[in-house]
Amino acid sequence: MTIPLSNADSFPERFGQGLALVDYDNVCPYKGHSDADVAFHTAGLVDRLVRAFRRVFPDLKELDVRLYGGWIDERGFPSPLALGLMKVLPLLRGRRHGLIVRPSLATTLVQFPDLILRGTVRLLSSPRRQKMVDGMLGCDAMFIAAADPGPVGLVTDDEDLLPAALSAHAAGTKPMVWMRPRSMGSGLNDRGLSERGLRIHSFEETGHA
Amino acid sequence: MRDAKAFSEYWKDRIEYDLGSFIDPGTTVSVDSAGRNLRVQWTMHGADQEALFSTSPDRGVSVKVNGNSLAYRSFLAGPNMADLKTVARMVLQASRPGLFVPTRAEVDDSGNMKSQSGPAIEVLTDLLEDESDDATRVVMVTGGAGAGKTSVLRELVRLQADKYVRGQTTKLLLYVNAQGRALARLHEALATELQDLKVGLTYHSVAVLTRLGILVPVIDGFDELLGVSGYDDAFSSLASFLEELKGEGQLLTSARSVYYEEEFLARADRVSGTEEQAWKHWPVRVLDWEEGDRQQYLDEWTRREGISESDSMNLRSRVHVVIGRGNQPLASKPLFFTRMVALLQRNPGFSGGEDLLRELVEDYLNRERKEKLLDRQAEPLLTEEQFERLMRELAEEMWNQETRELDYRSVREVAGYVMETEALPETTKQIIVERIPTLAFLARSDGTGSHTGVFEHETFFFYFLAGRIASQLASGRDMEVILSRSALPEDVADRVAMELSAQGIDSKEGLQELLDRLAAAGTAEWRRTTQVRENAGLIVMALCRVYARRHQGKVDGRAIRSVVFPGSHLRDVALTRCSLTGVTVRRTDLGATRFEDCKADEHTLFIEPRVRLGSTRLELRGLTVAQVTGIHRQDDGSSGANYDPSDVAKVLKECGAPIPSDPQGRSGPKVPSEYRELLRRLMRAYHRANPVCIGDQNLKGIFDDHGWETLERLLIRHNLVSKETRSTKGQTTHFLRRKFLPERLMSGLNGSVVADERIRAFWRALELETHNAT
Repeated sequence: MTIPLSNADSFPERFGQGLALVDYDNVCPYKGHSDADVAFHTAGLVDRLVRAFRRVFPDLKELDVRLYGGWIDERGFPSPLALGLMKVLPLLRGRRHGLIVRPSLATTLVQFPDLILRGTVRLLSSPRRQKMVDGMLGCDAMFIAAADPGPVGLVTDDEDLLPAALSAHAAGTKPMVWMRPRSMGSGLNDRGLSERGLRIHSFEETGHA
Repeated sequence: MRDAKAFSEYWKDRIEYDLGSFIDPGTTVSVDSAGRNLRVQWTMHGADQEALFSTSPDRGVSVKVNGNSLAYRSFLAGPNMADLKTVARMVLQASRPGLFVPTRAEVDDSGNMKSQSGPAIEVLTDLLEDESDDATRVVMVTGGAGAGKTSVLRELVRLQADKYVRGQTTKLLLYVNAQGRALARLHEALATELQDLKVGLTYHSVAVLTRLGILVPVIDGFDELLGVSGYDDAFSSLASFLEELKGEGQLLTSARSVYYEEEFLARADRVSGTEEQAWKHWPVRVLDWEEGDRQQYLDEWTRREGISESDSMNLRSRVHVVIGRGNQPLASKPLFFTRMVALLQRNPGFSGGEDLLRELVEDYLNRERKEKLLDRQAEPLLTEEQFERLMRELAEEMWNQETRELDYRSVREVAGYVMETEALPETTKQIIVERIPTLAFLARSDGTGSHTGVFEHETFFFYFLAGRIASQLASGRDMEVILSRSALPEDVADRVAMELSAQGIDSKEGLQELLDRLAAAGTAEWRRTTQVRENAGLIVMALCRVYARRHQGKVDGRAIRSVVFPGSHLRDVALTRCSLTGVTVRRTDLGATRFEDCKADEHTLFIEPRVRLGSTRLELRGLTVAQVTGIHRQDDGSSGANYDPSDVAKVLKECGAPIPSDPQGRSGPKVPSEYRELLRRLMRAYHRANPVCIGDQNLKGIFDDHGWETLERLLIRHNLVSKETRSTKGQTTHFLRRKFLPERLMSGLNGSVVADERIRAFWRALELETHNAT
């Protein structure tokens, strides 16, 4: 499946700038403990995303990757995983498979970039849990669908985000794709989503599960 | 005498919080209190720890651990916790010794209505040694590219680390390089730096140690964080760090332009979620080199190089000639002056020309090309043009990737692309790609055998980037994306204008075409529109300056549209019969600028323009007071902008703005001038600090004024100011925190333009009370 960014022969360069909204824990379930594990798994995820986006949007030139997760604890401190990612993300920025890639941690909403949301991870509760992460991802998808001209991919296999994906797709005028590890047809609502124009793309299609 | 119980309770919470930043993830700090003594247990590096803390309002906090008794600060700095001595040793190890070129700086102490200048290292050391502020001291160092900021900061950090290791100070500085590393936030910059130093400190513990005053982060190139993440993200990351300091400690940052400093000050409080930040701002300007500095450098350099007296005299006379050829501005930058001296000594035929930067770059390029990129017959593999193109492509790739440092894969990819499009033979291509790591001008090794591509100094990056932008602008290609990357340095905008001017396309029609292309870049609304408009505006200003220099100081009959002027200046430019449409002028220096017979549409805004009565002319038909938010006079010694619409109107009229005497729509409250003046003074105080301390001797004139009681009551009643008591180091002090932007409050005097009901209500109430009183 490939999606042209525009029907016009020439289109503004900014249309070549895509955005991946990634439910990090969902698509990169991290089991290791060391910074090296974080680096390895995240580099692998970014690599898979780049390949998937290139396949779906062949005209794409750049990709901003917003990683959503429990990054800030109750006290406003970055979580251990966020600290590990902060070290690795600058190294993952750059050109990969011909695409300029900029991964970053989503600690704010796109609409309110000056407000870092505290407590997206609750370290003091047992077991630790995330709060607000799905909400942030869904709200950003909606906001970006209405505000940004480039292609957007919602990257998660969590069906809690399905309503947001569908609404964002309906609200926007740009190509939006739901990306997940599972193949098309394996979700309960895949047919309905497809009928309403929301594209579902599996990492499997790139050969990188 | 302070309350012992309250003191002990404060420190109980504080110790729990502080130790919390060192403990293993998922563990907690346990505190058992018995009067003034606290038994504390925690887990660190997998081992259980325990210490006894004694709190006393008179003697402070001491810690008994492993049989030793230590002051609290020494305990946290010690080998079992932060181990700052090891950090200091690592800082020294990472510092590269070299010839440090002394630079002077000036600190603006506007609270005391004075400024002090001296050697930059001394100025900054004095500021950091003084711990008298009641809030976090935020020292912001500004200076243009090549002015020597980084050298000064690195030397300052190195000297302080040396003192720390020798036991001559208890305060260590931590250099955080935020320049050109594709970093998105301060968190990332800190995490990356700590990783580079290979020390065990975490982001949280840096904040704790900073708050205690035993560590001072030195964030070099803060403005460069703006690129990857945008203004709001970058500023909020700094503000959230400030919030963690809870009004204590010190922070030193640097930026290329005062504009970013002021943007931060304007936004700092908006992002505070908990209102725990409290800061006081100290602006430090790195000063340009003057003749005395240059002579001092020449004395030291010629002595070090073993140059004879007669050769030294000859060299000095050649230096004098080069500077005299219109190169004074560049020669006032230490970087250029030192490079120029080295080049003059090495190359007896070098005369500097009229474009010193180009000459310096060409000399570098030619040396690399003729010494390192040779074929078997010792002939250069690339022409000058081909080599320059390669450099431009690399600069553009860095700009596009929003970094100053390319991994070698990217360097090779770009080199391969250029060689291919230049249709060079495969063997040549291979040799070039292989030898790029040997180019001193570009390559850098990280000491582990891995290479990255980075220009030797940002000025060279700016030079090649400007060449790329200029050629794209001249060719008529879409400018939107190339201007969207990050905040364009002023030096790049100047260079773009110079290049275009040298190509002879700054004719009257040519200039308009360039202005139109820049306007078109900022037309579409998307997430980077603001950045595009600001960068386009910088280039527009640079083009106007260059054009004016070539046309008797005038830019005549041009239309400027849809751009933002972000700071910078239009010095010695007279715009005649020009039109401004949808232009925002933010804090731009118009002190020597004349708008004559010009017009502005209703979407054009002026935000705190810098003006000088007598030399600023603002003949802009259509401009109303409502379109001007604050005005900053440079000629009356005031340190900030005046937002009172009646004063703004007065200054505008004195600058020749054709505004009506009683601007239409002004139905603002009538408040006696003494109250307006009192508020103006309060706004000036808030420009430097928030919250302000009621006990601050410099602000005595405000808080002792007979009108203050009324003002304070109304400000608090309308939720514009809150009174708070803060505990700093266990002592309580009273503060007033503002909950609005100063310009918004004063704009309330013009009832028609302010939307915030709180502000309107405040002015109405003040009008009523003061009217009744009279």
